[in-house]
Amino acid sequence: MHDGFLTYQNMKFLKMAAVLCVLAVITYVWYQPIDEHNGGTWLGYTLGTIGALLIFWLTWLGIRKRRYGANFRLSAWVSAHVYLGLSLIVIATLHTGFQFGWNVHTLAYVLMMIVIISGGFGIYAYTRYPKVMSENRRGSSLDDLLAQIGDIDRECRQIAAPLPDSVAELVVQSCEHTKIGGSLLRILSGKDKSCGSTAAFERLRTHVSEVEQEHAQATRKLLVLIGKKCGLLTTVRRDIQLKAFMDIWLRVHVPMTVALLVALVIHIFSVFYYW
Amino acid sequence: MMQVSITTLTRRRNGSIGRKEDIKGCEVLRIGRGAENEIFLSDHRVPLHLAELHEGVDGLFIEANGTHDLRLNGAIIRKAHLNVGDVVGIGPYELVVTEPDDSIHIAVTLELVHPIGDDVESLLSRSKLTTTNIGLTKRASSWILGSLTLMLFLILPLFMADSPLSNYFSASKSNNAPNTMTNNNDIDFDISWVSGEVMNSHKFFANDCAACHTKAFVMVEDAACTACHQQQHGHIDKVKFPSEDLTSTRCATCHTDHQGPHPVRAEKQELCSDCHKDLDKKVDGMHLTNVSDFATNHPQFKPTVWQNPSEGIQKRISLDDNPVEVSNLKFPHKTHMNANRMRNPKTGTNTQLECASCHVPDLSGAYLEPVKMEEHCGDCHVLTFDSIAPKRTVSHGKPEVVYRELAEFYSTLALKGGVTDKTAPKVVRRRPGSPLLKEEEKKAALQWANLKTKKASRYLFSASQCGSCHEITPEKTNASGYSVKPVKVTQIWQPKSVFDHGKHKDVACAECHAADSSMKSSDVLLPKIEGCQTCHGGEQATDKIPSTCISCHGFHRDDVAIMTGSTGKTVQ
Repeated sequence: MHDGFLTYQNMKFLKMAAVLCVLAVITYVWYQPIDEHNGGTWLGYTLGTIGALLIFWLTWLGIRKRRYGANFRLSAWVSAHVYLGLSLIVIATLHTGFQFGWNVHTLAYVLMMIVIISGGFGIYAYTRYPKVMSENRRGSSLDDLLAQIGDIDRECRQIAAPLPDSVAELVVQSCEHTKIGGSLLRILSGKDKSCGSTAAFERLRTHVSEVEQEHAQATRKLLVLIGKKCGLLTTVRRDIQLKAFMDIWLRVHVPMTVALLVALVIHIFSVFYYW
Repeated sequence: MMQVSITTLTRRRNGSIGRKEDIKGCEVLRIGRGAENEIFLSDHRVPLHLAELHEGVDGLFIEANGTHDLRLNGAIIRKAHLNVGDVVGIGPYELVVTEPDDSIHIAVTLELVHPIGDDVESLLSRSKLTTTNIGLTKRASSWILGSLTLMLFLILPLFMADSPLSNYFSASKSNNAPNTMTNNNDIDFDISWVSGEVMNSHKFFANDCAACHTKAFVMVEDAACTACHQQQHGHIDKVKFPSEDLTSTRCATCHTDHQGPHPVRAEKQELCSDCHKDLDKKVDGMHLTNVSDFATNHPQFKPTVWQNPSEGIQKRISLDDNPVEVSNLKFPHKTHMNANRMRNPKTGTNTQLECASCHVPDLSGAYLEPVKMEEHCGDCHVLTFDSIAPKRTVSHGKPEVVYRELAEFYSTLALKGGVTDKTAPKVVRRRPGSPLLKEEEKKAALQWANLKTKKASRYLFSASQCGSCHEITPEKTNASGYSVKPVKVTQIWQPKSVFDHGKHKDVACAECHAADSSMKSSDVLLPKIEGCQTCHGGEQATDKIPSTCISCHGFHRDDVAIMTGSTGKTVQ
């Protein structure tokens, strides 16, 4: 169960977070400050304190979950991290009193929202993608798929040996100008517009009717093999794309968390420095 | 149960082929990577359960499991009949159907024709399958983002901007310099700390945070406000009423800043009602009435009315107690608003007077200018006194001044001559300009003038003239023989509040002021609070104009000492 943390202990932390948010909203509506709602009213200070403590605690949790100990329930911690983290959207937004500007205070808020949104994507990725990945690979492992591609390449080379150069060069293109992944964007796109195999397949498909009769069968066989290889490549690319999705959000989540912590400390420091 | 011969072929380096035959008895020949398969191929490229081989009624038959496929003589298939000599591609293996021996039902050879080779490695060498080593690591980008944030938003604002801290380190800038009318409004690094737009009136120095935030980690002190706002009055005499509620209140409690462009931010009535709702309990002998909400808990209006204009005595009397003003003026509003009674003595035409005929707004539009006799009454109430000079009037002034004007007029006339009145002595009827030669003639002329002056004076100070508006009493010490009681008409009934007539100009005067039925100037023509409450409600009103305390009342009172100093306390 990849989504065990979502349903952990009958959603105990979801309930806690929901209660926290509902209380915050009710208090916000009930409380009429002397001036506008903002972070400087008693409710603002309260929500700000809760929000800041949550952020520090949730960050510590991020470090904590990398340590494994006897009394450590990973799903409990992650469940708390997810639900209380999401509750920050309500807590922190009410803390702002919907006052935003081009300042370090809104910077902290924006960084927090980026952290939460990236974390939200992480939840989605961790609950959805493992299933999508195994469906995509249809029970095979990535190594299996790569080995199958290798086999097809080898078989293609063998078949292509007696064939005319026009066909053989397509096989070479398929075998030697195909790559998987590469740049971050290419991995994330799950596609490769300059894929040697796809190009070879397309050219071979138009070329197959032009080859001599004696090579027709072998060429058709090549077409089938390269077509199958293209299918395998699509599967592999989708696989590493999904894997990248599961990895990439953390590369936003973690550095933004660090920036958030710094901005948060500055926010707290500056509002009291210029009280 | 069928007997199956599985011969595994192994090609050696020298080209010879090794054979290993295995005979198995089974119903179905299963092929796959799983150990339970009869043909067990321990290569990761082979699916766990790839295919099954049956012997059917019409010969040998192969069928792939699930979505897997097979290659039969190079063609991709899912199921097919097999004949001797057929080559089935199973991943990297080749299975060839051979002629079985007598005791064997099925015979196959199996060979690994595609061992894992360089193709995969070369493909991998060109590829990049993970994002792990692409771009910055999480640690590196964390450091960069964190440091950047720290530098831009803490170090620079703290040390490079004019802040209490940088002022502390910099000897050239004195923290004690008066921060009146700042001379530094340059944008500094601490602009990123500004929590919101400052009010418009502070914008000319708002970039200098330290102008108000003089001490780090200390709330803005009143001294920062009074440094500029030197003439602002307090609310109460803090020596007499050292109430904790007020002495601990900062300017910024009500005048919050960084909340937008509007000047007075706090209009909530609780700011006032916190104290005023139970003043009687807070201060012994409190003369002020408790108040907390205009609609539900506000005392009746208590206009300040004249009680004794001669002694200068005014008094606040509740409208519920039917106040009577002693203004020493006789003025029936009702009569003046009746066109039948308003005949202009000069033109002889009747005029319908409007309120605005006499009551003119002042420059602010909030209040009305005082009614002036000459301007507003003089058209009809002409101060003429003698038919021999029908256009000649006296000033609207003190009795002795009026009397002197009369005396001067008649004396001049008498000495000049030419009076047409036949009852007048000869000397004043003589040809104008001819000289008075005899002392007796002068005496007679002035005697006549004196008589005329007294007559005109009696006429003017009679009940039909001055006495129609004024209280006239005989006064021997006055040259005229009369005295007029001083007239004091209240200009502002409620000096402790602000009523803006301009804002109410679309409401007819009579809606609030019952002037058309008032026959006495002692009537206080002020509407009761219930009149205001038909349109105005308290702060929480939803069906009326929500009106808070400062809609009508000011906090800073001109009759209280000026606020100053770091304590914000008032000075006497």
